[in-house]
Amino acid sequence: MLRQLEKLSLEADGRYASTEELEFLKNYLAAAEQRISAYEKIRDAEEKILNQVEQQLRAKSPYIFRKGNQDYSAVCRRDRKHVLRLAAAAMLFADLDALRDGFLLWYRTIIKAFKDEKVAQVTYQVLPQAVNQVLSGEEAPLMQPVMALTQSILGE
Amino acid sequence: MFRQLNHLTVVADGRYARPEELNFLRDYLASVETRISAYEKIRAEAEMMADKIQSMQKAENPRCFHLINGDRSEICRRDLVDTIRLCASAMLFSELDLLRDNFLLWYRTIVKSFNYEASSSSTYGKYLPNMMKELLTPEEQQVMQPVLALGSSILSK
Ligand SMILES: CCC1=C(C)/C(=C/C2=NC(=C\c3[nH]c(/C=C4\NC(=O)[C@@H](C)[C@@H]4CC)c(C)c3CCC(=O)O)/C(CCC(=O)O)=C2C)NC1=O
Ligand SMILES: CCC1=C(C)/C(=C/C2=NC(=C\c3[nH]c(/C=C4\NC(=O)[C@@H](C)[C@@H]4CC)c(C)c3CCC(=O)O)/C(CCC(=O)O)=C2C)NC1=O
Repeated sequence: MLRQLEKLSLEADGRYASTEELEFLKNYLAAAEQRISAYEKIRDAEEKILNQVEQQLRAKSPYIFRKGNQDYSAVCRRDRKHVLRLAAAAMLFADLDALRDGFLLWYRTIIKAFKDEKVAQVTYQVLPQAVNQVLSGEEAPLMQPVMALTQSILGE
Repeated sequence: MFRQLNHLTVVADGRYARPEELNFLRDYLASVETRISAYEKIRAEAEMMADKIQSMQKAENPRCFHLINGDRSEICRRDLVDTIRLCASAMLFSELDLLRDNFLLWYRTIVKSFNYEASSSSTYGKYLPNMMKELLTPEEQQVMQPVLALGSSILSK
């Protein structure tokens, strides 16, 4: 969102924005209202979403957050919370590339460093459905590409 | 609006944006149609406004565009047209700070170095604001007014 606006703004320094660009701006921003709405729903239902994912993960495997004797539930929940929030932000600003290049690729390395590929795989398979449940039929498609990207990078 | 939007992306990196923090975006979205409609009017009439303003300047002082190198009417007209466009852009994107820092302060130097302050004052303090009043609806004037005030305050002496 920001880049399109900034780009248009930069170009409007040198010449008037055309009627088409202004149409685009209007339409693009009209979609922004739905993105804000979806973003706020995810934010307000954060705990509920994270709980649901956690339950489903434990249902699949009771010791999924254990490594040896140590329980990593808290760390995993913290990480998962971050990912959800950054994904919601990527949806709000319609910025997939920044999500991927600015976060997901880096975070994938963390997952690998701690050998959590399997948990990550299950987590990011399960998260999209939990998110969809709090969104309307019109809002869900806004999160879908973000979830798919997240799943494809973190869940491999 | 960009600084807030930029700031929002930074905020949203570290935590969820709060409802209050999304308000500027909602406010902007609520005013966008008015801004676009004002912008399109200005775009359509900018050349005519520049012509009229130059006529009025010349009527007041026939040699007002005669500088060291002779008649510079063309250059002055071009500068005026450009400035009107930058003001329209600042109104469209609700960006006063950028207009001031990236353009007006710099442009004031051109005005000074060519000793053009008297004409600049009447252009940006009187003629241009009056034309905008005639061109725009009250709602549109409302979004344009802060920009005109800023421009006038910096480019008038
Ligand atoms: C930008 C926001 C942000 C993220 C996302 C983040 C992730 C993150 N997870 C980490 C560790 C970790 N992350 C996990 C595990 C998991 N994590 C998962 O999402 C699951 C796939 C899995 C649950 C089983 C584990 C086990 C550690 C190591 C913790 C430790 O050894 O103390 C670390 C290493 C340093 C630390 O322990 O704090 C980082 C930086 N840090 C951040 O600031
Ligand atoms: C898009 C925003 C923008 C503006 C407005 C702008 C103005 C601008 N005016 C310039 C020159 C100039 N401007 C003026 C004069 C005037 N101009 C006035 O508005 C009056 C104060 C005065 C008329 C009496 C003159 C005489 C020159 C020098 C032209 C020359 O001799 O080369 C120049 C130097 C380059 C050139 O001559 O093309 C710029 C860049 N540049 C920008 O990027």
